[in-house]
Amino acid sequence: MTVQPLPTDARPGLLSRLRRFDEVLGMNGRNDRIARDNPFRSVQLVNDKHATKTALLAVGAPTAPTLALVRSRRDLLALDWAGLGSSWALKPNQGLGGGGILLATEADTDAEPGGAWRTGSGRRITRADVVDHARFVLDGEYSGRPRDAALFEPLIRTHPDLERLSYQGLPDVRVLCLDDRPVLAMMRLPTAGSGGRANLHQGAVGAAVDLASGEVTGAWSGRRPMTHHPDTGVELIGARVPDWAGVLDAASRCGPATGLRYVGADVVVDRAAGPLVLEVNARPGLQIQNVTGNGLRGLIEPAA
Amino acid sequence: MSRTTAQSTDAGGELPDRASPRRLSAAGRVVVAVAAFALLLAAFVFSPRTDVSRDPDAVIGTQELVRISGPDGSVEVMARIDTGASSSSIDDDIAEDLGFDLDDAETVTVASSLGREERPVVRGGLQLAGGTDPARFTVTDRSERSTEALIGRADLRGVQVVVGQRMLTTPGAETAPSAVRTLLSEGPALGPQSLLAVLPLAALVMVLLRVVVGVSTLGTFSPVLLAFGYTQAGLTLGLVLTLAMLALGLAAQPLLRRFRLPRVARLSVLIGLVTLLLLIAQHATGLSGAADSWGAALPVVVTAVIIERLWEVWDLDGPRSAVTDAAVTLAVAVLVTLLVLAPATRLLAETAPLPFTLACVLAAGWAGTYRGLRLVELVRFSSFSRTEAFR
Repeated sequence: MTVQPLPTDARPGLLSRLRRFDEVLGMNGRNDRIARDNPFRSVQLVNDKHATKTALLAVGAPTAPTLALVRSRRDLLALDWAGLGSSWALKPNQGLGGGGILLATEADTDAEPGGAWRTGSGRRITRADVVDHARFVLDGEYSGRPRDAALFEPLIRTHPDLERLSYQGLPDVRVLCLDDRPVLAMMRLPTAGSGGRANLHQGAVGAAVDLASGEVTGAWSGRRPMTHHPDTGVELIGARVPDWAGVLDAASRCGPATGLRYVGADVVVDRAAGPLVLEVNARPGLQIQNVTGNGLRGLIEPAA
Repeated sequence: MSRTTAQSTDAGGELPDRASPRRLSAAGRVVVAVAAFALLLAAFVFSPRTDVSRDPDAVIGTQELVRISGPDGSVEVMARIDTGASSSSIDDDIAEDLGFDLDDAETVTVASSLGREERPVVRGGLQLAGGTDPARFTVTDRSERSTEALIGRADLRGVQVVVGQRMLTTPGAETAPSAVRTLLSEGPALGPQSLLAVLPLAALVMVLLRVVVGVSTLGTFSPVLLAFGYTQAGLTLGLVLTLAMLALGLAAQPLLRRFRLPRVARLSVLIGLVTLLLLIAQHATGLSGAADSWGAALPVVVTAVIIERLWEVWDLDGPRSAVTDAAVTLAVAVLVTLLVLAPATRLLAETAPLPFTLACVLAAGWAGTYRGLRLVELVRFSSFSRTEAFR
């Protein structure tokens, strides 16, 4: 499954271009599919990161362990700060769109253990800063609801093969699965423009990944095809996702674990732990069609 | 937790007929759907103007523009339509300008809300909505009143007066003004009853814009509420005020961020700021004439929520997306305003509110079953359409 931007003199005619839209699954079709195939309980489940991780672990899907789950201010007072270690990620348990995540990449050596850390950009954060942030998380600031919990996880360190392809941030592999069958895959590579975020509409590069081999076959930034990373100049075409079989296996367990039949699995590859499911999406986006050059309509509703 | 049965029903449900090569392509279908929608909109907005000449069915509001003629010419003034007054009256300055001889005129004693008064009476012409009729005016100092003329029962034979509304009839014109003209005028153009009646249509338009065109606005129905505000405040004033409120909200953002207020407090402060701006604007423009209700008409809470959304988009997707979303929201609001003010819409909504509402509800439900592409997706997937897949 590869995609090739055609040379200008061989562009398909208008009629065949129009016909090509028949393969595209639009927002309306997707929403219909989700309403039919993704039960309400499952959608609720994947909105809760901690509950999702429990469900994933139950079917043997790899995911980051939980360092601490802070459900209340009382929990926050009783938190074992030294037990967090030198690097961690603090996430709103029911966060929306990746907002409100605080990352500590190393311990501040001048402070006692569990007293202060540094973020990826080198900014110093003290325990008081973290408490402050956690209070906001508990108040549902990033979750669109009145209350939430704060989740501490060990910091994921990207596999060097993937780190090489990205500009800062955490690149991941989005695998779209129907039931437990992976149908399309792409890598999402943060750029300077995306501010380290792996969201395509914020400027991250989308790289089509061949399902059979785990090899990058094409890359897009928005509507612009490219072969090299726009910030680092590293060639993307031909790059391979490390432990591809492990990534596909992790992704294909997300449906059975959560009860979702149309599911987007975000898998990261940690340099020590290997593939880990970062997030399970009950409403995965449609941009993967542009990136991979494959329409979802044909995959979902095979021609009779 | 494991998945239940239903594994083999993947291709179940209603498959589109793929066998026929003559079937309209997905791209073609969305274009046809959008064209039909646009045609329907245009039919409403540019609908034939309703006849308001002075036949027994003529309908006017409680404040209309009239033309008064005297020996030296005629003048157009805003008049209050008052069926509680027996005769009509005009301001003494107008009477002098029109060349009426006030000194030798007969006088009558009039009991008005200001007490008993001896007034000169003059005979001239009155043009209201349709044709001109002779009329009798008492002359008094109306400089302290809201309008320079008052039309009483004697000159309102055969017309129906709708209380609390301006029909915006033009003297001499045989027709009601178009939606565009109504929109650009000041003052409430729709009464509460009519607003209620056109609400389902506005909601239907939002469904079509979302599902068929793919327009996304800051808040699903916020354009409708803005539009209803514009029907009360007039478009120019409404738009200017909305833009000012959005700008103020954006300017206040850094300050509110610094205090790290929770959402409910942030929204409260924004509501307060928006209200403050409206109050100041209302004060500055002077509470004159028909404009006395527009401050309350603009949706304050919705505007505050729009501002909050605007911040979120600004943060997540950058200023360009934020500005685009705000512009789209305002454009949709203007479109909805045009639609609900269109003579055809008002006629339908006011004469047959029940069938009209039912039709809108059914149409909204039917539009919701559209599963094809949205118009904007033809752009979104344009690069896809230029590539070939090899599988």
